Amino acid sequence: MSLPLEQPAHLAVALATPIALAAVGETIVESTGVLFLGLEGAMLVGALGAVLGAHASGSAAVGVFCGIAAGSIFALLFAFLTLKLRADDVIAGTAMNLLAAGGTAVAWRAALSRAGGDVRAPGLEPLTVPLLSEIPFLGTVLFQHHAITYALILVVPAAGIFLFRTSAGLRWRAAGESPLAAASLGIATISVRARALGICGALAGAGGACLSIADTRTFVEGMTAGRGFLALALVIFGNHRPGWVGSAALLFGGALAAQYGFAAAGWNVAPEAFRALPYVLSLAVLALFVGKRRAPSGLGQGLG
Amino acid sequence: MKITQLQPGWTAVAALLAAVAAGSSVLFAAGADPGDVLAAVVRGAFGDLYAVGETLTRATPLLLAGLAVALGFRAGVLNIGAEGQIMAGAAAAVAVGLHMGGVPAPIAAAATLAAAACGGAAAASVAAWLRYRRSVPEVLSTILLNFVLLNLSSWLVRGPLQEAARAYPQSDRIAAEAMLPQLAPPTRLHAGFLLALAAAGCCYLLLFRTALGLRLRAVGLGVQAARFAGFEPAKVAFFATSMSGALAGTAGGVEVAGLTGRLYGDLSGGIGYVAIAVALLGRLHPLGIVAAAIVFGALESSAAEMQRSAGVSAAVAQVIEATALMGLLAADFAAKRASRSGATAESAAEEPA
Repeated sequence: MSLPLEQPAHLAVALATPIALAAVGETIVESTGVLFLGLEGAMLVGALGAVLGAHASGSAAVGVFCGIAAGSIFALLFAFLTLKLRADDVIAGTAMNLLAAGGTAVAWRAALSRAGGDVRAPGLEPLTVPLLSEIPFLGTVLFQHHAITYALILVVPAAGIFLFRTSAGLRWRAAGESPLAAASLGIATISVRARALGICGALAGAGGACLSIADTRTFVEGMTAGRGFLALALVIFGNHRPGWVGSAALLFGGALAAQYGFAAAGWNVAPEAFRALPYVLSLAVLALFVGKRRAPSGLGQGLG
Repeated sequence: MKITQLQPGWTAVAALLAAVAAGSSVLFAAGADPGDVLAAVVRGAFGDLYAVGETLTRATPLLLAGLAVALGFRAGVLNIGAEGQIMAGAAAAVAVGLHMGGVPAPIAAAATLAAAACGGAAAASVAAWLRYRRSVPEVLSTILLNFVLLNLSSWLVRGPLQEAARAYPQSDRIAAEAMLPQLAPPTRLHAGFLLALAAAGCCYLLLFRTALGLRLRAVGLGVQAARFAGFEPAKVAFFATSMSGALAGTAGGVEVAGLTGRLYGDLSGGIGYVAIAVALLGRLHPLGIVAAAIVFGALESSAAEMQRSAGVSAAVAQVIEATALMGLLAADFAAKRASRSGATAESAAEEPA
């Protein structure tokens, strides 16, 4: 016997996972002063990498690692453009998103034609945590997911503790507030930002992997459908605090889950309205709250 | 490096050549016959009258949307929302164009395009309002608006604007009076191309020959300095955002009135994003953007030809476009480093021994 909101809440957590992973990654990278618009592309590349890796190896776990690696390498290419070639964050990010959209389409079609038209990946199965999943309500909502969601539950507090409770985190945030002042204190700004981008790409890649091999078990061109950009909005809404960003993602997961609820209740609402809802919601949230938020002052300003 | 700190034009040419070389080597590696690919590229882009027409037809929306992006960037407004503004323009053009039956042709077409410009400007104004009243970065709001507007238009073609037959998710054809004249049948080239060229000329005059253009560029170069000079950065940027949206909306309107005649869900098909590459490779200069738009139009036209004849996916064009943009970033870096080391050598030579 399940409680009334148990299933929708479970779905909200599942739908929030990919966005939350990307958003926490972006929080880390923006704290070091880099605006990584390529987040959407990193998720897409991660989604494709996961399917191809899982298909080739026959193991979903290997697939997840391939997705993480693909996202990370993708973000490091962005690091090369912005940190080494000193390109503008927005331009480099836009170029990376174009590259990801075109590149994954080309690679996917090549993989399809090689495999004879059908690339299915072994899916990531949900793992039920013993004991914890027996807790009424919370057990179902939080502890009957696949491994990536559990990783997320650990990553959110870990990112918060690292950024705000360790001296290394203080140095990383110093690089984001003022790269010049940080450099004068002996902080290797470029290396900090490159490492942050590597981590962010890995998290976004995991988010993409979550979309492809946990949900659809195959790749679809453009399957991230703007989730990376939603994550960018969540970072502002969550005021660059991993805990708040994670909670905000859960709120959005709820909004996404609501559409299934409405459909089940037989409400006749256009599906486009539901698809636009997260974007309208994030614009509304930004309009209401952004004035009270404070981004790192060196954000998107290059190396000073 | 700030977007408005421009490097010389040769880096853009070098970047393009490098990207095409990279793209072709990927194709060779993928096993396509080099001769076939090359022949398809040339045939598809400039092979005959039809190919040239196709290149310019595809360059038309890229040119208008590229100008839109450039006008914003020049004023420091990062409008990444051309994609959505194109759809807003196209939807507005169809909404008006459907009711133009019986109106004299030039007036009908002008009204349709004016509606498109207003649609795009209205969409961009939302981002401008969010930016200057609610401090929401326009980089983000314009991207998010893209998804709202794309969903809105796919709803329109299933709902209020769907064709009377209700068979496909598309609108009816707009009135014949509202359609732009064809320039060189049997090619698809239409008067929209001339309109886009005229828009480039107007943008040039606006940016470089008017006081407003000076203000716009000053705001783009430095908000603080522009404020000291007595300009109101917010007002100037609001204007630049709306103008940028109007140009992108016109791109959508021209696609409808010159080409498709109807609205359908994926009408913009990524033009708004490619336009960013066009604007940057064109050095945010209207004349450079004309050249960049034609090169990208040729690229897409030949990609379509390659898909037919050499079996190469059209997404390769997108990869080449992205590579060109990245090559541009690398070439800019090289140019900057070269000029810096040149300057150091000069100043060292001037020092007395």
